[in-house]
Amino acid sequence: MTSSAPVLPVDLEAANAPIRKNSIAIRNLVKDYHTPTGTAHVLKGISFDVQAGEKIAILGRNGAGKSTLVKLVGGVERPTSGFIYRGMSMSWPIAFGGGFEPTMTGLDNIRFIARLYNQPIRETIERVDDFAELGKHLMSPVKSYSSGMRARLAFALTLAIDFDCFLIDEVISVGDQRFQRKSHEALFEKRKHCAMILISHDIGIIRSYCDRAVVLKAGRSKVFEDLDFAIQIYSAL
Amino acid sequence: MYAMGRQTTGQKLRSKARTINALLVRELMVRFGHGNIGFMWLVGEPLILTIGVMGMWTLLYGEQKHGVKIMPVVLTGYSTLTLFRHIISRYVNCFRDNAGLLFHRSVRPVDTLIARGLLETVGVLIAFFVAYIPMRLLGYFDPIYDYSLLLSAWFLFCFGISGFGMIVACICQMSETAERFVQPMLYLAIPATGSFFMVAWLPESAQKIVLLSPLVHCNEMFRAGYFGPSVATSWNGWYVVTWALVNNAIAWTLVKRTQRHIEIS
Amino acid sequence: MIFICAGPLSPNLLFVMQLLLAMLERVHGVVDVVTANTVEELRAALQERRSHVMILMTTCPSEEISASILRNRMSILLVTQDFATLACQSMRTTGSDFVGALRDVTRQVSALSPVATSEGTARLPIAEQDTVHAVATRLMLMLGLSLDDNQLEEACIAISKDSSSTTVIDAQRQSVERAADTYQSRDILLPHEVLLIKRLEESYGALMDREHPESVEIPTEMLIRAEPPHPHLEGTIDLLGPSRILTFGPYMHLPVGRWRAELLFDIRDNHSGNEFAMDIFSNDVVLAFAKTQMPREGTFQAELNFEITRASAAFEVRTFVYVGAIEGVLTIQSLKMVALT
Repeated sequence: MTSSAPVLPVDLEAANAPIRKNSIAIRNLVKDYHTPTGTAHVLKGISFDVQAGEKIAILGRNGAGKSTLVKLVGGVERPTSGFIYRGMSMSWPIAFGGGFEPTMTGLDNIRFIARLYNQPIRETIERVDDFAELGKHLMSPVKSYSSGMRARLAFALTLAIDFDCFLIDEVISVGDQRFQRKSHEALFEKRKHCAMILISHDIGIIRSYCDRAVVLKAGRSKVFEDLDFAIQIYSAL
Repeated sequence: MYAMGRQTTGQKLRSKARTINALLVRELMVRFGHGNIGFMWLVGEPLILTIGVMGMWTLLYGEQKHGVKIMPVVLTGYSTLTLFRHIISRYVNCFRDNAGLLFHRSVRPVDTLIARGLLETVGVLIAFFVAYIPMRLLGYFDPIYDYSLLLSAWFLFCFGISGFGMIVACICQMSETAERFVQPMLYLAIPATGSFFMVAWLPESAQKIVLLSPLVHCNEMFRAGYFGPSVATSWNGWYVVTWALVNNAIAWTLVKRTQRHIEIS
Repeated sequence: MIFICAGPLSPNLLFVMQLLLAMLERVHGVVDVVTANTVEELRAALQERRSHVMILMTTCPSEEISASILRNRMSILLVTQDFATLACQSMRTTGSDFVGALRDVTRQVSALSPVATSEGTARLPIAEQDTVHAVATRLMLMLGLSLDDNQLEEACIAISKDSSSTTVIDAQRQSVERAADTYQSRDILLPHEVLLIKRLEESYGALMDREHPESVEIPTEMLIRAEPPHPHLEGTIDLLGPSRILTFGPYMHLPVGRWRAELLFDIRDNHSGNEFAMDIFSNDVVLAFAKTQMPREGTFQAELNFEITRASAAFEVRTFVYVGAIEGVLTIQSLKMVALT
């Protein structure tokens, strides 16, 4: 059901909220893609805020526009209209891995990130090695890693930089139980003070850590302060 | 680090330099990896090709032509041609290859182009010297006459080609069909580069035509720096400077618009 | 000889019963008075009858007893009153609240409908300001009773205590049990209650007329919101929330037969899409169900065909939102039940 008529944002409250300085503010995000079969209106006016230290969940069915939203929030693509105010430093999506170059070794990839973000190289390598526990494998090219190893490296890289806000997509459940515990600890305990945008289907995690939720449906969004209510609606989508 | 605005120009330049440095090292790693001879391969590649061509040319045409030893002419010509080809073809693929890096807030598509350009500029120049030095020591080559002219020619040339390459890259980003014309265009452009002849070798009528090409001026300027006044070269510095500036002006405005259309799949 | 007095429970009905009894006693001596709504009740009463004359009162006849009455072509006297009085009477008798009383009235009316509309039924005209004497005379003529003037006068005095020219309403206040309370309740009805009764009377009253009405309008405020504290439907419904039931009720009744429910509603602000469903629910059984995707906005009519087999079984018209909704507003405009038989 596509139409070019301008549509009022569904969540007027979120769209008109004042923007605080150290926050990430999304306002009236619209994203259209031009496909051979016509224009696809993927996002039709998304608005929400993330304040410093706040954890917000993004809930929605596959195809509701979550991955597009991640790309826009992460700064990879520009929205068709609307804007994103970035008052805090934000990580890349954790699963993305910082732009791994498969032919480069794990170490070289770490060095690249360290240089890019102006972090001391030696220290960064230590932090990543300590977390990902890849040992000798760091000296082999990334293309020889299993998907689990790749995910661990990606995760470790994201944690190596002191971001104010973490963009977390599905990947937190990677690795064995011990690693998962480690990941949870690293994110939700050691970085309790950081803001997070959590995109997950895992209701348990969302209930435990998030303060608010945004439900995404057919490219439209609504912010909920009541997490349980949001989860109820999401479960019935 | 990423607070909105409030960065002085100095800070901004420094952080841009950091970004490009990181991208540069990455480019190096990507192209030449760990398993090979490492980053020496960067210079080894053009060197091997240059020596090969030089050998063949000498075999075919003998040592001197038109009063100039042929090998330095080939070396200078081949170096500039290599840079021309490398920059154009690698710029065209740059956005696609590096699309994933856009998740990093400090990386803009144009930074990846600059990193590639710098790599080629320095790399091919080093290759030139790596070929020159042994030849000089063995006595086959005369010493370079004017380093400042040589190097200014080189960097000016690289600056101009980089601008041109950016324009081509942007056009290819906007239109898929344009990309197919790039390789043929590179080959067809070889006569226009002046890499395999010197202007003085041509009849006057041909000279006028050939001197319309800024690349010919670059090559002549480069050779002037190499040979000095003993060899006749015709070039106009201001022509080259103008060409480079205009190219880059168009390139930068085009890149700004194109960056908005780059999408990750 | 059986005299049948049918009608919703009201002071009028009770009054007519008493008057008829008084009149028949003058002529026949002992008369049985029976209230029966089911065949079992009637059978039991018939077993214990003392006399060959009987007055049978029925306010909410079952399908079986109605069929029996109609089959035997018995003569029926229909006594009604305005709905306001009926409601107040029901509140007194059943102890329910206002809405419960309205439902009870629809139950009685629905059950009475086949009997009230049959050709052998005579409607007794009776107004509150008529004199007792006038009504008695009418009764006598309609039923073909033979009383002389004295017997008539005596019967009237027996009911009205003062004279036979007392008004019906005064006589009821005196001699009909709790009639005075019923009329008092009627006087203190709130304006919105009066309005609701009027609307209900317009549609349901016609069910007792000889010409079967085409449709019965259910006032939308009889529907109940599903969210606690379950208020009656008023205004718009915000669809925001998980998939769930939106409204239920009205727990009203309809005469036996095939019906079509027509729900007129409109949708606004449904930009992210939604599914709407509606059903007819009665006696723990879903009688009809429909589901549809809602467009962004517009006014629509949902139609459901169903069959009522027992007038005593209350029905519900329920609406649902079938998928989690983050936006959208639903307004129910009207609910009409169209008779298909």
